[in-house]
Amino acid sequence: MGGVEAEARWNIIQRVKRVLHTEKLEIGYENGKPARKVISRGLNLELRQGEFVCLVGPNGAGKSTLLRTLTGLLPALSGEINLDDNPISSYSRKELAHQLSVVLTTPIEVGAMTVRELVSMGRFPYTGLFDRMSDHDWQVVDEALEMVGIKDFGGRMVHKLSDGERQRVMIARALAQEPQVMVLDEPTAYLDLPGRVAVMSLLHELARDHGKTILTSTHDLDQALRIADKLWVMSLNGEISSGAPEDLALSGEFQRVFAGERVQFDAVQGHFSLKEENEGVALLEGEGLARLWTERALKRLGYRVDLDYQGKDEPLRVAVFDGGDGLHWLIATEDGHEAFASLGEMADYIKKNRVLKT
Amino acid sequence: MKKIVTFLAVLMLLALPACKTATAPVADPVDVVVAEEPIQAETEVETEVESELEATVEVETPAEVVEQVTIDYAKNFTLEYKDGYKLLTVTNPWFGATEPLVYALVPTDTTVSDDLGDAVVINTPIDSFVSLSTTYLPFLDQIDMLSTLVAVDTTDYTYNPEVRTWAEAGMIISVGSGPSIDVEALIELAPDVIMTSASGSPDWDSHPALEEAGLPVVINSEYLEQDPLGRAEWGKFIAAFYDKEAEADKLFDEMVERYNVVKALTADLTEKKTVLINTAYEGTWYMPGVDSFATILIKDAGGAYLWDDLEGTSSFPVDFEVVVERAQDADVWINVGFAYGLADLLAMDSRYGDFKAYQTGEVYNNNLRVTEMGGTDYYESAVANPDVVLLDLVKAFYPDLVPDHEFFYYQQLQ
Amino acid sequence: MGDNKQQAVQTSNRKGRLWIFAILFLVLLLVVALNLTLGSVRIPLKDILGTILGSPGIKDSWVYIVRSYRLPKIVTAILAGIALSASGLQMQTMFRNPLADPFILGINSGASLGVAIAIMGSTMVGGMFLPAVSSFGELGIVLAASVGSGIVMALILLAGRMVKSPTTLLILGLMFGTATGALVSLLIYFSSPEKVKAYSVWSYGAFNGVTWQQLKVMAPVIVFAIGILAFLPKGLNAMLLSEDYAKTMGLNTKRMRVLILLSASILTGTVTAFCGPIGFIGVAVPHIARNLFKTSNHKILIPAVIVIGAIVAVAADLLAQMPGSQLVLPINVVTSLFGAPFVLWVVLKQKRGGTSFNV
Repeated sequence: MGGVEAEARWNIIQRVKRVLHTEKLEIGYENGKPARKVISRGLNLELRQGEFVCLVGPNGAGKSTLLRTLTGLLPALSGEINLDDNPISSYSRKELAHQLSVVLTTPIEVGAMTVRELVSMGRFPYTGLFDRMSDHDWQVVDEALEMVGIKDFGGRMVHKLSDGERQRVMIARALAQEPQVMVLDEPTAYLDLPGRVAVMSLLHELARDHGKTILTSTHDLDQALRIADKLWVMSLNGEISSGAPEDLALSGEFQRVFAGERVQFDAVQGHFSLKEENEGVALLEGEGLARLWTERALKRLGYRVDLDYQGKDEPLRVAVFDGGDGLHWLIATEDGHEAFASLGEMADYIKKNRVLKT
Repeated sequence: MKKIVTFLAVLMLLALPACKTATAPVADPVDVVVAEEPIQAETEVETEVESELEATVEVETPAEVVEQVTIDYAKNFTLEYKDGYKLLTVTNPWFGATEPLVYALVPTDTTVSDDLGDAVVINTPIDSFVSLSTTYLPFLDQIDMLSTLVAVDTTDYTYNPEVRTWAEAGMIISVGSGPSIDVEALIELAPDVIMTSASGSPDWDSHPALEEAGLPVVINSEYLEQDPLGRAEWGKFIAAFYDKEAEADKLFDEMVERYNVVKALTADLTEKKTVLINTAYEGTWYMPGVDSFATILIKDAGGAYLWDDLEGTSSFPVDFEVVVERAQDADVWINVGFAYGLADLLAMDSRYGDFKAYQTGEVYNNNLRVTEMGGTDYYESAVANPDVVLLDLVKAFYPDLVPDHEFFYYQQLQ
Repeated sequence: MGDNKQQAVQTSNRKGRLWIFAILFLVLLLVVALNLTLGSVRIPLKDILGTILGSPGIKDSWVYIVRSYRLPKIVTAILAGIALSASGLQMQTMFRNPLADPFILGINSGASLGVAIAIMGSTMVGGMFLPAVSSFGELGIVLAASVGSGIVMALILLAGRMVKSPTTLLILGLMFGTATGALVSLLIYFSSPEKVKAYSVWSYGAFNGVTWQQLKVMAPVIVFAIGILAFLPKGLNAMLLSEDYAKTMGLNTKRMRVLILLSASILTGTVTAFCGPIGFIGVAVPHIARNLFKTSNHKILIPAVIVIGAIVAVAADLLAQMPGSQLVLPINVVTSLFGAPFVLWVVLKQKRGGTSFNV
């Protein structure tokens, strides 16, 4: 790809509308204890049309505060928040509702309402004083249901749904509000794994296939790395660095922000893992899937698998092969080898010997 | 000291009869028997005073053998004369009580051979009295022992002007009532008798705290008497502590006679006036049963009480519309709560204006004698003067029968 | 399943709901008719109609009873039932608490204190109040209650604008209730038994103490407060999600809170002033409405609690009459007898269902 094309592409990207941007934003609390607490300052963030941005960071960094400030639920301490290049303060509550909708963490409890009724509440800023829904309003509602993939849920009662389903209904509601931006605050916090996966991939889809602009905070860094267009990484001292997930991984940002005593970010694997004790080196013979999982087991036990070990210490020699009647593992010992029919057994042996050695 | 007090007491006693005969509504004569009453009463009182003088002068000598008195109307106490002492038994100390209370009235400086058991011993005659109810005051007054009063529960509702004056002068103290009664002040006062009523509920009663402090408590359950004469007879109960029950007896008999005379006035009436009593509260009208104090008086005064079907002595919550149905056309309406005038009554509920008694002005309330603080004499001395109440009621129902009687407790609302 | 099917379901729901409303209206008429006939005094039904229509030949006292006692009583009951139920619904939504009742903000405590001072306060001020109360009479009590609840109402409205979360408001209300309750206890302690009885009788609650004259004041006030409510269903629905959600949906939550508080406290205060404190209706009726119509949507619930509230109040009054006997029970006795097990049922259902407002 030539320079000209790249530049053109860059121009296109630049020309993509900035839906939300902040200038020297300072967020925090007033009237708290102490009187004024600043969480972050000098924030210059931006959201572009059709982006799916995940806000990540350790607990207590202030993610919720940032989101609440951006959505107008919390006043900014100073600086500007701009929607469509207009400051947020120039919008009335109702006008703001046309631009922005939210999904909050706690699954709501409204009792007896159908899904369709609940989603129709997204039309709130568009219906009049007596909440009269036009045909167009219902159309938007049904479209939202379809986008979220819960078209058949319409008549079901909200309180009979699972938490995950309910959050999806809340996403549909937020969609029905036809905002420029959807902001979500830890929407998957109370969900189980399938629920979390469903929600995150839904958000991804909404951005990718329907062009929605989505900002969500999440604890699920693994998923975020995989599906977000951009990450905003918020550290404990309130600093935010933003960029594509891969850029951030390469720049060592994750390691820095999430550095902990026991956890480290594995830039290769793209996820966090426990810092391991280093037991030593292992030489492994084997192929395919069996080799892969044996490596993982060895790693878990604290061994680094090396292909080409030249060091002085005696390495652990392991081999795995398919004996026709299943997998077998061998470990070289002083006088021959030990055979195991499962990784579990082998691991136990290694552990036992380790204990004996020390 | 005692002599000075006695002398002052005598002076007051001389003054009292004068006041009494001036205001005491001894019935204006209708027939000869009644006409003689006032004169008799006066002489009675005068001789009383003289004998009182003698009695008080000779206060040092031990009590003589007292004239024995019988209890004829009151159902809740008995008086027995034993060898050298008296036994007062309160058979029903309070509503729902299971055991009677016994008081042994033993003359001072004498010993008694009988085994007194659980009876509380009070040495007679007593010199000091604590009254935790205003209804004991008229009984003290009528045997001229009001001056022995040293403390009351409160003077807020007291009508008796003397007591109020003495209280203001600090000669009578207020000790409150109930579980938080001022026990310490009473211990220091060391009265001979503290008289109170009881309900049986420790949240309201004063006597448990007093008994615990070893103070001499006497329970008076006159309020359980529904018969007006029975209630008045409790004057003898109080007088017994002063060894003056004979005197109280005589006064009582005279009162009963006056009462019966008045009662006889209306006995032969063929057309009786219909009577409505009390007012509604928030749509509910509490009607007393036929055997209660107020209704017996109505009946004895020749009135027809419209709720004959309510048996017993308690108050029944009756629906307003039943009252309208039955009593809107009642001839006379009495005991109308806090109303001092017809306008007050109307303000309580505009529908009262539709009652015939209201429209004809035949509404009477027992608040003629009221202090600024809201103390009503009816609730204080009527218990001792049911004959006067009866006269008032007859005047309300059949004024022509008692043309010369002036209302004492009641007033016709304007 | 297409949109058409969803629409169809929705329409059939609506039809079903209209039917339920129709039936409820019939029930209301029935209960009113029963109440008119089954009073303490036996008046046959045909004669009742006669008294209202002014037909000749009917006993004067009967005409009087029906026109001056039963009719105003029923109108009062209907107004009170509507007011308490509407107020209860608003409280339950605002605090997202199924056990909230109209009195959680301490409004009736203010009224109680006002009345307590009027009746028993004379003890403390040396009998000065006595003539004042007697000359005001009934209206004096109403006045005292209104002033009392008005003061608490003003305080609550003020707080409503200032505090951040509804929970704080709740706690304030509870504190008002406790404080005024303590003062009332103090007054009771120092008062004579007659006055205490008079105050107690007020606190039993009654519909039949209200005359047509008083209704001329009570009715418009309640209608006005219900009128405010007519504009609120959209906002109330939004508040159900949470105040945060409501804000992001464009609702001015501060104004909403003030309006809710205004409407609810006027409704509660007025009923308490004229009828004394009446319990359980405000808690129970919103639940009945939710269960009957199977919805939490205020567009349906508000008219629902109005009709059901009227029915419940008139029925409670009917029972309190003890038809056939000339005696009459206090309203609170009847509402407690039925209300207490009901509340228990709600609490148990909570535990099983898990979510609040569970149908």
